[in-house]
Amino acid sequence: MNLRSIPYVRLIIPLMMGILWYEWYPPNLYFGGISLMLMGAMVLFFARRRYAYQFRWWFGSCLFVFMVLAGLMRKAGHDERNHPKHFAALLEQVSSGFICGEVIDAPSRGKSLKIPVAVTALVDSNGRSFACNGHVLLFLRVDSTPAVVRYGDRIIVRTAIQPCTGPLNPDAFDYRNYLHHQNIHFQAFARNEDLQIVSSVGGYGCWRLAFYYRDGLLRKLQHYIPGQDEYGVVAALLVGYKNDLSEDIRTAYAQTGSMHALAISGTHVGILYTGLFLLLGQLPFRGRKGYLLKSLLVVFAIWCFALLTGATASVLRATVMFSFFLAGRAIRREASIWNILASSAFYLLLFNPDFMFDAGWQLSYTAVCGMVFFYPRLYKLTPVLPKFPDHALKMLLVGVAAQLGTLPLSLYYFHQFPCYFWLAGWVVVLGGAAFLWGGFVLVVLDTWIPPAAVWMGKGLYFLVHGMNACIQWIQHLPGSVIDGIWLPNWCAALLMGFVLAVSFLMARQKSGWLWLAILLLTTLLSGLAHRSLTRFRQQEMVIYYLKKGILIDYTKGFSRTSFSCNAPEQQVRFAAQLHRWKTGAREKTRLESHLPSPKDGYNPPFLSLGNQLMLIITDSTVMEPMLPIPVDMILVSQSRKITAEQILERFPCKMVVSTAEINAYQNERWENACVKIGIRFYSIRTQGAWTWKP
Amino acid sequence: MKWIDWLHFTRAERTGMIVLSGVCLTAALLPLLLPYLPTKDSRDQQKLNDAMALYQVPAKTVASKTTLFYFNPNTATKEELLQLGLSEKAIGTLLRYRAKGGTFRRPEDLEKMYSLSKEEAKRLMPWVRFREQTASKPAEPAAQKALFSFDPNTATEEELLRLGIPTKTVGNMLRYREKAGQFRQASDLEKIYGMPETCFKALLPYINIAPLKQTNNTARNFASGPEKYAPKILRVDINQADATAWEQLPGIGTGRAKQIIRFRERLGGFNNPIQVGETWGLPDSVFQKILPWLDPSPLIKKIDLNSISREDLVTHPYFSFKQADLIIAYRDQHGPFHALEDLSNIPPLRDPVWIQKIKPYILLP
Repeated sequence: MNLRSIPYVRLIIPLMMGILWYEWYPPNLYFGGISLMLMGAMVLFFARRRYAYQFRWWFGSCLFVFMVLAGLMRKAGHDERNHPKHFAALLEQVSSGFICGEVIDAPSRGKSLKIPVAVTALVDSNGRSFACNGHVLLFLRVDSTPAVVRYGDRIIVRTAIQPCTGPLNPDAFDYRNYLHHQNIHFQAFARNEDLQIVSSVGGYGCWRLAFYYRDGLLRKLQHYIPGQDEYGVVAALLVGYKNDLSEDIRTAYAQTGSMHALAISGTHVGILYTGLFLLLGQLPFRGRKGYLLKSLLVVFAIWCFALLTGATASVLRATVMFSFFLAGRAIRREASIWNILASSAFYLLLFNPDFMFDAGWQLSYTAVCGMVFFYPRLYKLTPVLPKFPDHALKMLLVGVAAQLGTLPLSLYYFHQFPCYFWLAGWVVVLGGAAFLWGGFVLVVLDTWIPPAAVWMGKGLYFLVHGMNACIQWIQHLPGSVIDGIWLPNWCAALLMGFVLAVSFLMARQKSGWLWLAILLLTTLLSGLAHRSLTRFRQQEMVIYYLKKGILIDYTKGFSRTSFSCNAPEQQVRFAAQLHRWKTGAREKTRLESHLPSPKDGYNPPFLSLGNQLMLIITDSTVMEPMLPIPVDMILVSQSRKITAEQILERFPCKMVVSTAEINAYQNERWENACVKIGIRFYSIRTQGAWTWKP
Repeated sequence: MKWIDWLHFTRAERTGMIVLSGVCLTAALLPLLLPYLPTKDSRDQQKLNDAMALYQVPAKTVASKTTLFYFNPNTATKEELLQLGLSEKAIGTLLRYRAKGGTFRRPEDLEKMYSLSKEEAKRLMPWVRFREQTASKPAEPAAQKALFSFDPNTATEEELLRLGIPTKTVGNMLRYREKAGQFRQASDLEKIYGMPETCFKALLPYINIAPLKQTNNTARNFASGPEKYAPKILRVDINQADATAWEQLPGIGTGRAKQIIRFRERLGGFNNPIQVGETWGLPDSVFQKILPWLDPSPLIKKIDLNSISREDLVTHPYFSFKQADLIIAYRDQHGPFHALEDLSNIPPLRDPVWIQKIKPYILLP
C-alpha cells in the first residue's frame, strides 16, 4: 500500500473535517461559499502546472483546504434549516393551522406512527397559505383504525409545529440530537382525524416502488411464517424491517452481540453477492463478456436489495463498495481495499453528510477496517487446519477482527460488551445466510408453487425458532454480558487512537508508533483513574422525570440509594439506567413504596435522603399536624384533594418540587402559592429532571 | 514518508482531481442554489385548494357556523349547546357539573367553567337567560336606536325602554326608585340586577344625573327610611329575643331570624350588639338597618375551659379545631388553666385580638 494507491483516503480526511467544522462551529455561509469558489479556482490554477519539487505541496494544500470547505458547504446545504423559505420564520404568525407536505420516508411504528414530512405549505386558520420548506416529524396517535400513510403521500394535517425537545432526564438518549442527524428539527402531534391524504404521487418513483414491494414481501412472510417473534426476526434479517420485533428478542440479540445481524448490513450484501455469483456461475456465460454481464446483474441485484431495505447507511456502504469493487474488476484494475473503502465513504458523504454521525455507518466502517486489517494477521498466527475446521476458524477470526475494530465505538454506544460474541457469530452468519436465501426462495415459490411455499414457511419458522433459542441460551450463559460500561467522549477517542496506533505499529514496525501507543494508553488509564477519584467524591441527588410514579436516586461515592414509588420497571430503566451507569455507583439500598391507602392510617410520608428531609405529597396523604413541621423540601406528586396553601402552612420548607405526574392545573396552583410565599418552585414536568449537587 | 508527501499529487492525479473538485463543488453549492431557481407549482396549488375545501374546519374556529339564541345553562340540552358552538369537551363538563347538582345563578358563572375559554364565555354570556326566554335579541342598544341623554332617577318607563334597556331591568329600576333608592352616580346603574354589561356601557355616556335633592323619600340614612313603610318596631333584646321579635325588624325574615338565634345559641349569647352582625349570611346593609333597635343584655352561658370537652369547645364559633386541640393538649399536659393569661403559654394562641374576643365567654377568675 503506497500513497499513490489511496488518493481517496487523502480526500476523505479533509471532507470529514469540514463536516465536523460545520457541526461544531458553523460559520457564515457566504464566507464559506466564496472561499470554496476561490479555492476551486486555485485548485484549477495549480492543477496542470509544472513546478519545482520543493513546491510540490502547493496543490495538495489547496486541495486540502478545498475539501474542507466542500465538506462544510455540503453539510450546510444539506441542513434543512438553511433553506431560505424555512417555516421557522412563519411559526409566530401561523401558530395553529394546517401543514401541507409530503412524506419523505417510510413511517415507523411504535406508540405512535412517526411520519417524516417535508413541508410544502403552511395554512393558518383563516385559510391563507404560505409556501415554505422544512422537515417535520409528525407523531400520529395510534388508535383502533390506524391510518395507512406511505412514502410519497401528500398530506394535509391540522396541527401545530413545535421545536423538538431535549432529553428530560440526565444522560438519557438524546432524541433531539438523533433527529438532528436525520435532518429534522421540528415535531408535530396529531390524531387520525386531523390527517388527510391528498394524493400518493409524491417522492421518487423508485422509492415508492421499493416500499411497495417491501410491503408485499412482508405480507407474504407474515402469511407463511406462523409465529410473531419468528416472523419479526425473518423480517429483520431479510429486509431490515425492525418494527415487528419484540422487546425480548431485541434485548437477547443485543446482549449477545448479534444485534448487527438483525440490522441489515454488509454481511447480508456479502452473502447476497456470493450467492448470486454462485448462481450465475451455473449459467452459460463465458469469457470476458460473460463476466461483464454477470457483474452488471449482480450490481443491479444488490442495488435493488439496498432499495428494498430502505438504504440504511450500513447497507449503502456495502452496496457502494461492492459496486466499486466489481467496476474495478470489470476494467481489470484491482484497487486497494482502503481506497475502495475511502471512496465509498467519500461519495456517500457527498450524498448525505449526516451519515458521518450515524452509529450504524461508523460501526460498519470500523468493522470492515478491523476485518481487513486484523484478519490476515490473525490468520497467519493460527496453525493449519483441515478444510471444515478451517472454515469455522476463518469465520471465528473474522468475527474477532471485526470486534477489535469496533470495540471503542460499540462500548461507547451500547455500554456493554458481549463476551460470547464469537459463539453467537457462527449462529448468526449461518442463520443469516439461510434466512436471506430462504426468504427469497419463499417469495419465488409463493409466486409459482404456493403449496411448496407453505412448507418453506414452516421450515423457516423452525429455523428461526432454533436460532432464537440458541441466542437466548447464549444470553443466559453466565458472564455473557458485561454492561454498565460508560465511556466519556475523550475516553472513546483515546481508545480509538490507541487501537489505530497499535495497528500502525503492526503495519510499519516503527518505534514512533509504539511510543504513541504507550502515550495514549497512559493518558487513557490516568484519565480513568481521575474519573474514579471524581466518582469517589461525587454526591448528588436526582429526581427523575417519569410520566407515572416517583424515582429518586441519591448517589454518594460508589453507593446509591434509590427510592421508587409506583414507577413501572421499564420506565425506570429508560429514564435512569444510563445516568446510573455514568455515576458508576452500585445500588446499596433500594426503597420501594406504594401509595399509602386510607386503610393504613394517615401518615405523612417523610423521606430522608442525603441530608434532605422531604415530604412527599400524593392524593392519599392527608395530614393534620398539631404544630408546623419544618422540612427541607416538599415533593408534590398529585394534589387533587389538598391545596398548596394548606400544606405550605403546615410544613414550612425551603423549596417545592413537582413531579411530572402532576397535571398542569395543579402545577400552576402550586407555583402560584409558592411565588406568593416566596419559596423556590421547580417543576419537573416543564423543566426536566431535578438534580442537586452540594 | 514525510508529511509533505501526503500533500503531493502527481500530474495524472491532479488531472483527475479537477474532475473530482467539479463534482464536489456541484454537490456542495447546488443544494444552496436550488431554492432560488424559479419553480412552477400551479398544479399542486389547485389540488391544495380543492383539498382544503373538502377539509372542514370545525365549528370552534368558525363562529359564523353556529347560531346564537337564548338558553338557560341549567336546562339546555346537548343539541342546543352544540348549536351554540360549544366544544364536545365543554358540553361534557357542563353536563357533568349539572348532574352533580351544580347550578348557574348568574351569567358570569359561565366564566368559571373549566373548559370554556374566556372568549367563548364572553360570547355566550349575553344569551344566558334564567327565566322564560324572550324571543328578542339580547339587550344591545344597536346603532339604529338613537340614544339620548337621560336621568335614571327621573326617566319614564317608556324612555328607559326606548334606550334599549330590557323590560325586566326597567321594572327593577322602577321598583328600586320606588323603594327610595336613588342613583347617585352612573355606576349605580350597573348594579341593577339584569342590566347587561354591553347595554350599560353603551348608555354610560348618556347618563345625566341631576343633583340630588334631600327629600324624605331619598334619605341615605336607611335607619330612618323604613320607618315610613313599616309599623312601629319594637326594640330587641339581643340575648332574650325570640324569632318573632327578630322577624319584625326590617330586612330580617324567618330565615335570617333563625340564623341569628342559632348563632346566639352557639356563642352562648351576644356580648355586644356588634356581634349580631357577625352572623354568617347577614349582609352588612341589613345589619346597619337593625342596629338601632338592638339592646345589649348579659350573656346566657359561659364556657369553663377546664372542664369542657373538645367537641363542645369546637361548637363555639370563636374556637377552631386547631385552637381547641391546642387548648385540650395543653390542659392535659400542664393541668387546668388558672387565668386567661395562661392561654398565652401556647404560642399559636397569642393573638390579643382573639383573646379579647373570647374573654367574655370564658368562665375564669
